[in-house]
Order: sequence, then structure tokens, then C-alpha cells
Amino acid sequence: MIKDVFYPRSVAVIGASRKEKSVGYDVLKSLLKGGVFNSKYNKPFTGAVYPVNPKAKAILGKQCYSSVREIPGRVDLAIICVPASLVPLIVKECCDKKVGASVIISAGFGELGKEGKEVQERMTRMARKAGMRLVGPNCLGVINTDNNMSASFAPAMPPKGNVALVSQSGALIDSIVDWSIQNDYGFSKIVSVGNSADLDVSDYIEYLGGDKHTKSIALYLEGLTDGQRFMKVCKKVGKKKPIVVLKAGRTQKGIHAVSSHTGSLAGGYDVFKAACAQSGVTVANSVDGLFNCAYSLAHLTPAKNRNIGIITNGGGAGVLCADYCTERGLDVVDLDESTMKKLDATGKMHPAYSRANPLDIVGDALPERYNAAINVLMKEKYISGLIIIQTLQAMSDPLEDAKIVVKAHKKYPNKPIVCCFMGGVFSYEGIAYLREHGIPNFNDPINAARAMRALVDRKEYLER
Amino acid sequence: MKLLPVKDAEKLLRKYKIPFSESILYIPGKSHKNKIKTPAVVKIDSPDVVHKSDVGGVVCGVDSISALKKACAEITSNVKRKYPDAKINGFQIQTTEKGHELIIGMKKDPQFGPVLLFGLGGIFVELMKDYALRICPVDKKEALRMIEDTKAHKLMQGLRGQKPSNFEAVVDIIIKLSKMVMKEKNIEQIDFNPVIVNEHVAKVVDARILVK
Repeated sequence: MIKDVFYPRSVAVIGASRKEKSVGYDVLKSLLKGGVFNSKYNKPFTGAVYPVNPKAKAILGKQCYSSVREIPGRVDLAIICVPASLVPLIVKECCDKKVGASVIISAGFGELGKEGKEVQERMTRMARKAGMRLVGPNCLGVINTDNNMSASFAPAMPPKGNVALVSQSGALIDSIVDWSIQNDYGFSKIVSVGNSADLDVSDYIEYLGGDKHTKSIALYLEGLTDGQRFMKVCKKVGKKKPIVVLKAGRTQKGIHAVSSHTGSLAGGYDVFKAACAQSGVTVANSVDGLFNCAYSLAHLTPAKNRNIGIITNGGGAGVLCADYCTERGLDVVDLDESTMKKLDATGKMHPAYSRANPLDIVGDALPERYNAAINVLMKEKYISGLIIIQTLQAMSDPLEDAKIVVKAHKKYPNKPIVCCFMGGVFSYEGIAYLREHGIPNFNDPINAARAMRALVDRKEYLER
Repeated sequence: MKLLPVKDAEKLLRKYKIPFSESILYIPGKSHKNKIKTPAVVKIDSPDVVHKSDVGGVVCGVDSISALKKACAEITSNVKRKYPDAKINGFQIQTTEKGHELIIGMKKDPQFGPVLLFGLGGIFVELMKDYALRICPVDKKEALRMIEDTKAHKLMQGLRGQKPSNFEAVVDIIIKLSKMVMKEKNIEQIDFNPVIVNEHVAKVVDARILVK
């Protein structure tokens, strides 16, 4: 069962090794400690772990078994990291043992060509017949932060969160995990799909659609075998959870010979984007974009329409943000005269505040002025979402400003707030506070505009 | 892939009730029972010529029988210059339609199956690159959204006092094409280019259908 991939009660590591810096050692260590490198997020896996190595007595203090068949009791998940030539035999043993699912980390199958593909297909048929699901081969493994399971050789356990990542690149996962720890970016599940001999991208999306810890799904794709099924699954899951995709191999020319206008215009990536638009999948253009969008969509409510307000304490950043918003089809809506009266009535505005959108509340803005401006704009029916910019002025108080934003976020649950606290060390406390409370913050206003656009698109898709 | 002969392409369009501007196959020297209406467009009918305009295989604004004969001679010499051994079945003669030029096409994608294309048509298609794509099947709502995704949409709404085009008629062609390509599995690529649309009708003027 696919559930055994993410929620096994017992895991066997077949090919567990005594040799440090080998995959068989790293996978075992990840299960026992949470990761290969030290990290505050590392925790031991909550289930049973059985190393399998016929030559070793114990590894990392765990008793070894000479084969999976020797393990007493049920094995829900087997992680296979033996040389490719031994994998079919091991898969057979797992089938005999009635293992629920296997993650084949070993490479050397379909990616090598025809012969490898045949072995891979034979193995898959055998597993399917026995009712055992397969992840991979040729993959990094699976991570579930909910039960502290890193059945992988990723560097460490990422923080807990509500974004799931399905990736056709294992190496990308390594770096993303490293990055996520530094940036406190939380994941629910991460799966490296490898060659997708059995379970493929659509299967994982379908599963994650029903996973209560996942609020949005990020995909890194290189190719799809069944585009129609991908669309069907995304349409179904996308109603409940936003899906964001980054596609590599965009400039690749179509496979068919080109002899009509339609043939030459409808290139592979254009067709892929059309398929995504039809199934409500957000397309990102960069690794940053993928995770920014996935985070924003996981944490914020969609924006009712394109009318966006911008509050800033710096003219330049406000104008930049307005440009980025407008270029992305958002409407930096004109403020009503009545709105200005309300702002004046708060008694908190600087005499020279902009009286227009972007609402420049001037460099000396203290938290209470942010508070007044945010409340006035959020109460206006004609504004559907807010981008709040804070440039670091001498009198700025990033932490207090962040607290005000979080309060507003709770007070107005039907309108998204995206932040752009620009800065580094001196803004850190505020930025960390925003992150702790699930408010996306971007250093570059272009990313705030992109996130807001994704929130608008989401609403438009859901209402179609 | 091979190009479907004009008569077979027309048969397919008729089967799926896709409106097109009927053509007469004119063979110089032969008598024709159908009266030739002018002004007309004259096009080469040859299985060896895919892009007719590119080889000088199209002459517009033909307004008399003598002009028609002249046009046929000109086209023959143009085509023979590029393809000396091209087989020439004859010349297609179509009454000239007035309106905006659109393209409606289809291509089979190895991952997603049939994909429809809608956009600004004519000879500048690949220069303008104003088009939208949709994976089949495409229904009425999606067809309309497809039109709205392009600049051709503005053109069809009517610029500078022009009358708005018949959107329904264009949507109708798109959804009929979707039905056709979902059924006819051997079709690999299609260009309906141009499709002429005006306030009254939308009609396929040139249909290029490539089959397996």
C-alpha cells in the first residue's frame, strides 16, 4: 500500500553498511538519528528499524539481520540500497516476506537504456503481483516529518511544515533540505520519485491530496508519462489543495517532425503550461518561485479579486512593488476619497503621506502607524489583499511591525497579507516572527507580487 | 506524416459539420458544370506542396475567366520552379470571403494527446505568435476562454468602429474540431488557416490535415 511508503511501523534497510559516507550507512543513520548531518530538526524515526547485512553483526548499535526473511514480525517498508545486480533478488525476498512497499534507492535500471528498462519492468510486475508498491528505483528516498522518518540519504530532517515536495530530481532535494533548515521552511512530506517504475508523480499527488498535514503540493518535473492522468488527478486534488510545478526541459523541441504552424507553435513546454492552466496547477519559473508560491498558497487564503493594496514606509520599494504587481495583471487600485478621510481620522498619518496606492506612510512610520494603515485598508471592501513593505529605517521596529501584521492576519482571515520586510540582520527578528506565524515574507517585492498573483489565480480557478 | 488531399479533407469537414468555403477543382481545358464565381482565390492543389503561399501557389483577387487562366499559368510556373516534379491535380477556386483571418489548429502531443490552437491567422501566424493552447476535449466554456486569451479576441470584438465578429461561430468550429480529433485517431496535425470570421459567419478557407 502507498500508505506504507509514508507511515510504516517498521522499516528494513537492506544493504545497511558499516562504511561511513556510503548510502547504506547514511540511510540507516537517517532513520536512527534523523539525518546524516547534525541539525536541530533531527529526531529518530518513531517506528522499528531493522538493518539487513549478512556480514555485519550490528551497525550503529542496531542488531543486523542476514536477510529480510529473518526479521521477526511484519516489515511495512523496505529501503533497498544494494548494487543494481542484486536488487531483483532482494525484491523477490521482499515479496515473499509480504513487505508493504519498497523504496529502491539503487541506480542502474531504466535510466541506462533498454536492458535496464527490461529488468525494471520485470521487477515491477513481480512487486505488483505480490501487492507491494515501489518507489524509485534510482531515487533519494522518502521523508515524512510527521513521524520523523527520513528513509533517505538526504543531509538531514527538514523542519515540520505543510508543503509537500514531489521531485524527479533527488539531488535537488538534498539542497532544498539544507536550505529549508536555514530558512525554517517546513515540509510535510518529501518524495524522490526516481524512475517511477511503479508509483509515479500522479500517484503521489493523489495520496498527498488526502494527507492532512499537507496544505499545498510542490512538484519538480522533468517529464510525464501519462499527461492525461496527471491532468485528471490535478483537477481532483487541486480543488482541495493548491499544486505548484517547476518544469525543467522547457526548451526541448517537440518529438514529432514539424510541418504545420500548429506543430511548430505548440512546443512541449507551451502544451505543458496549457495543461496546467486547465487543471488549476500554478506554474513557477524558478526554484525560488516554486517554494515561494507553494508556501503562500499553503498559508494564505486566496485573494477575492485583483484589487491589491500596498503599504510601504519607503517610496522606492512601493513604486517597484506597484510595477511588479501591474506587470503581473494585478490592479494597484485607486484609493477612495473616503479611505483617505478614514486614514486622516486615525490621527496617525504623517502630513506628507502619499494619499494614494501604494500607500507610503513615510520613513518615520512607527508600529502604530502601520497598525492604523493596515486596519483602514483591510476594512475596505474594494481591497482584496495587502502587500506590506518595511524598509529598515533608523526608527523602524521590525518585531513590533511583524506582530501588528500577524494580528491583522488573524483579524481579517478572508484577505491575504504578503510581506516584504526588506533587509537582513537588523530585520531578522521581525522576519522570523512572520515566518513562525505562517506569513510569507520576501526580500524582493517581485516575489511578493508573484505570490499575490498566485493567490488571485487560485481564486479565479476555484470559481471557474 | 502525409498531407490529406483537398477532397478528403473537405469530406472530413463535412462529416463533422465544420463550415468551410467550398472550392471547385479547376482543371484548365476541362469543362466545369459549376459556375465559377468571382472575385475568387486560386490555389495550387498538389500533394507535394504543404505551404502553398511559400512557393507562389496562391493568387488572390481573380475577377474574370481570363484572369483565372493567367493565374493558373503563373502558379504552375512558380511551383515548377521550386518543385519541378510536383504532381499538380489542378487548382482550387474559392469565392473570396471578407473578415478577420484566424488560425484554428491541432497537434498531437506525445504526453497529453490532441492539443488545440487558436490565434491570429494568415501568413504572419509564426511572426505574431498570438495564440492559446488547450488540451482536448475542449468544451464551449474553455473554447471561449481560449479566444479571450489572445489578442485576436480584441480584433473580433471590433476595433475602431468595426462590427464585432460572430464569436459563437468560431467557438462552434473549435468544439467541432475537438470532437473530430478525439474520434479520428489517425490525424496528427491540422491547420485551419485562415479561418475567416465576420459579423455573420466563420468559415474554414484552407484546411491542411496531416495523417499518419
